[in-house]
Amino acid sequence: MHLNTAFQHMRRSPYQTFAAILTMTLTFFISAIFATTLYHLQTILTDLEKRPQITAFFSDVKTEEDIRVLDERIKATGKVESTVYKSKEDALVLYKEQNKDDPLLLEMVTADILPASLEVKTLKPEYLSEIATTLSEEPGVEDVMYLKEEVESLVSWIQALRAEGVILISILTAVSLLVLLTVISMKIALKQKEIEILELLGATSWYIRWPFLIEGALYGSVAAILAWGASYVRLLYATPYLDGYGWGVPLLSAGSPTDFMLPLLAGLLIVGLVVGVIGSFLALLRYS
Amino acid sequence: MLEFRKVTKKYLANRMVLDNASFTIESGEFVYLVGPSGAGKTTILRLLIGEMKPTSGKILYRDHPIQKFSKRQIAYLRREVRIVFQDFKILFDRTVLENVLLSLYILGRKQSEAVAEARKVLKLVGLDDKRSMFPIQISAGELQRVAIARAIAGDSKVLLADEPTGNLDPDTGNEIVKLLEEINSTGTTVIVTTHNEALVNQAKKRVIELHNGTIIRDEKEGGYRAS
Repeated sequence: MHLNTAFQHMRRSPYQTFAAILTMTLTFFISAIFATTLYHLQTILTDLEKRPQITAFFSDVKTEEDIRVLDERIKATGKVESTVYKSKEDALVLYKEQNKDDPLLLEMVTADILPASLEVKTLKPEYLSEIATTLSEEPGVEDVMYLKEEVESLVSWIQALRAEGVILISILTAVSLLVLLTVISMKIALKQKEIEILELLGATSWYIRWPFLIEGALYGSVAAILAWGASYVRLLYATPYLDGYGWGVPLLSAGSPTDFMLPLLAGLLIVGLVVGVIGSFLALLRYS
Repeated sequence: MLEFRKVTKKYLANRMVLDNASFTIESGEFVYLVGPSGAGKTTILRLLIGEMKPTSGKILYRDHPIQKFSKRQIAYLRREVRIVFQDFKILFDRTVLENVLLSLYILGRKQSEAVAEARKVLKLVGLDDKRSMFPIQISAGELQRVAIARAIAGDSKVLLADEPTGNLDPDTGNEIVKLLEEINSTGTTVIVTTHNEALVNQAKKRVIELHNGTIIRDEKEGGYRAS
């Protein structure tokens, strides 16, 4: 009954209904974009953190024993999660694996010309720079490779996006709430005569309030679904393009929606319902 | 059923609109409240539906003091004590049937049940054939019938009519009064405020006359003696 009345309210003032849903959809769409971007960056960061983050290559003067001593020394800093020693022979196996389709490259290479290496994973991305410096200052270390810039820029992007996202989404949510409050207030004002008649006929306050609360909840949930759908389409469309920028990490979980997109839909629906109901409730407090 | 015990109502600046009014109306009675404008007739009706509280005194409905009712209790009171106005208070964007259904949905009736009940009262007021029309398509007399149908639909026990013939020509006014008498004959208590002398004289019903907020006459089959 109240649901029917709420639908009637929406049908009888289509422009206001459209304005409320559009504003909320825009808010949720931008929120969804922020959420998917942050999730993607976090996925990349997590993946990068799983990879050997620093690889130190040694000259032939460095013996395996020297490298073990160095290994113990950097582990003693308490900033290293794990290390893996790769001998010249291990390097050859890896090289062969990476170039198995190019026999020409395999012909000329022996274990002697490949360097031994130590792969290091730090506990936090922030420790990368310090450990890399320690390794590069060590005599007998020819080269140190690590994803310093990538990881650091990713960390700063995530931090900045989080902060900006929170501010932007808060502002947009406030705007949505105000638009919804205005739309519902206008509808209440337009329905003053109907409300007066209902009160005279014996309607309780909640009989009058329910349709407006349901209307607000419908705006919120419809907007959440539309925003989610639009963000999913955008994600599917952008995935092939964006994958090239993800250090080989598959973009999001476009192929398996349950991983991220379904929780995102649930989150948007909950926020939509809450914003819708709160907006309507505030309007009802003011006008009834 | 309804009792006013020494009820006084003052508006702002101590303007007295009802002064020490006492009367009792039994179930099934038909009562005219008469008197000039500002005499306090509408105030009595508004007090009866709990729209305002008396400054002093008691108003009892089935021995319960209305002035102490909560907002929710007032809502339930209004399901039994219904009111119609001179200006009909009809929703012009709803059909005749939909206007009547408002009363029944409030009572929680299911749609099929509500439609059947609404059509029954529309038949009683002679408008069932116009149930799909919009208010703009029917006459003023018919609008008042819609308002009456809406008021008596459901569980109403008392029908209050505030100048129900005020906007109608004499013939249509007479028809509305006949309709109110018909409704009264089914057991509904009817209280009508009016200026219409001819109407009251021919009806030979109980008359409570007010002047400046004071009851100056309360007679059975009283006729109208406007001051």
